[in-house]
Amino acid sequence: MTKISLPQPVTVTKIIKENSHTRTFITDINLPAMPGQFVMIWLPRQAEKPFSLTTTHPFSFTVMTVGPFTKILNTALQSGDRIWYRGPFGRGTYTPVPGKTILVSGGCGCVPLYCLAQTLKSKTSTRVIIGAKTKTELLFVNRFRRLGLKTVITTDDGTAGLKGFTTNALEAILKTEKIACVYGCGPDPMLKTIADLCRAHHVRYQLSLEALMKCGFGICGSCSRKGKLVCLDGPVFTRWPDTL
Amino acid sequence: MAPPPSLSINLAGVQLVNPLVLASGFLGTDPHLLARVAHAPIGAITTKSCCLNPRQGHENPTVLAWDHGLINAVGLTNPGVNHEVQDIIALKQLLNQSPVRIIASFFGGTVTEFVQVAQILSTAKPDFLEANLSCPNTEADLGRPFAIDPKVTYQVVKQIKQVTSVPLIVKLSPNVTDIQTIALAAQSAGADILCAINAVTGLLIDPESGQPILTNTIGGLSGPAIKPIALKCVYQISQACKLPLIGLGGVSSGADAATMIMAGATAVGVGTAIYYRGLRAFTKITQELNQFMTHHHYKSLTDFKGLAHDQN
Repeated sequence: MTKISLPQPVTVTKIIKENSHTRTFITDINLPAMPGQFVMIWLPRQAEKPFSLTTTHPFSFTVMTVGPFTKILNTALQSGDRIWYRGPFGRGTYTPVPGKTILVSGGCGCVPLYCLAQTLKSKTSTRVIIGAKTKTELLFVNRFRRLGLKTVITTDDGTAGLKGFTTNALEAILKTEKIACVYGCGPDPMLKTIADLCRAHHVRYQLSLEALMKCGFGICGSCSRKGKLVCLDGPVFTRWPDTL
Repeated sequence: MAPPPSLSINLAGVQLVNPLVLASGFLGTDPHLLARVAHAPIGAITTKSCCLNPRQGHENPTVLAWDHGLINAVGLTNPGVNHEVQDIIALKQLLNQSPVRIIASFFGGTVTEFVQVAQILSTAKPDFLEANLSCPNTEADLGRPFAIDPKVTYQVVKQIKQVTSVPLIVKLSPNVTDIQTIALAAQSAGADILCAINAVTGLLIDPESGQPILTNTIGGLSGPAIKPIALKCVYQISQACKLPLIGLGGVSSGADAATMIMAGATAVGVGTAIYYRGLRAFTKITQELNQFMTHHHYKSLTDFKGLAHDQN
């Protein structure tokens, strides 16, 4: 697996609209990477931010508009344009666990989980809980279904699926079934709850964390959480870092 | 069998168990992360430079790896001195009974700010203060580094020394015509220790877009590319000054550390080597230095300190 140190250009060949403020950019290269790894995406004279890989063959990534840079990517970038990437980064990646598994996705946390889902040998023993604030914010529901995964939908306002949080749905499953591993990605409070629930039910878990990142390779310390580097030790952790 | 060589040093009256020092700016400000470094054999940890108020630094890209080292223009991101005082206190607690010393690095946009920050930072009781007069990446808002002018260097060091009793390290810039003059200015102003070198200014351009890769355009080079420059500066400073010197720039191996000491350094800074060798860089460099000394029958670091200056 070759890691690109200095930004290299790739051409965007196709753009998929996921919802009103989220797009997936498909590029003209393959990028061998492990599920959970990320790349730094750079636009000259703009900025550079970390993004999870959506697919590796071809290399694609998904952008939700949250700030000025993601807004530029989602409004200005067109098919045929070039973007620059370096990576993939991260030594802590999702690793397969045999048996029944659950993916828990909050918001754009679906991206690395979708990357993981593509690598799972038995799609039928894995369910995905996809959560969002409201129906129009839900992401990747059909993508997961097309892979053959059973989906459980939750929305905070009850406009789709179960009303409540992903972790409510997860708790219900953990109480009644023997689960081998829970994979999570999403907002911190959700991940913390997953860690607590899994500990209480003696279930293994793998969580992909977010943090402010600069270098991406463990030098600057920007992404340190209780001494663990999210960019290098993670982004996927098998223990909640604040309890290390 | 001969006893293992001694790696301990005396740095301006303070004992360090090992000559290796974590260079400032690496691994940021999280006390938990800095404490993790202290599990390795290391003499001192330098915290990331802080100033009076919180500072965001530059937009990414800020740190990049290229063929022969790193280039960075982080822009002195820090949470401000009051927060840093709390971080240092937390770090001291985490280090507990460890002999690892703490060097608190700081900077200011003006002489007054340097003095204020030194005063506040001293309340955390670090083992050393390090005045960073030489960041190459903040010219746009902080002006040219103090360390390019001997008069300004003298003035700022003199005033800092008046407000603190913590031993003061002055970090010098290689981006000058005559580093000896600057080093002498710092020495005559009362600096206790000198540290050289800070990053060497450089520029990387992306050939496809024709644009600078760093958002700040210009950055500071570190790592293997600058080792000969660092050795030259350390050699020249130790020719001109009596003060103990922390030598750094491109030290990646035990042999590199040895040559820095041969050029005249008492202690040796390590930073970019973490990129190449991970957090275990300190353990590996220490092992190599030990082997080197054993092989050459050196019993202590003073046996070969400044050896490069001897002509016979």
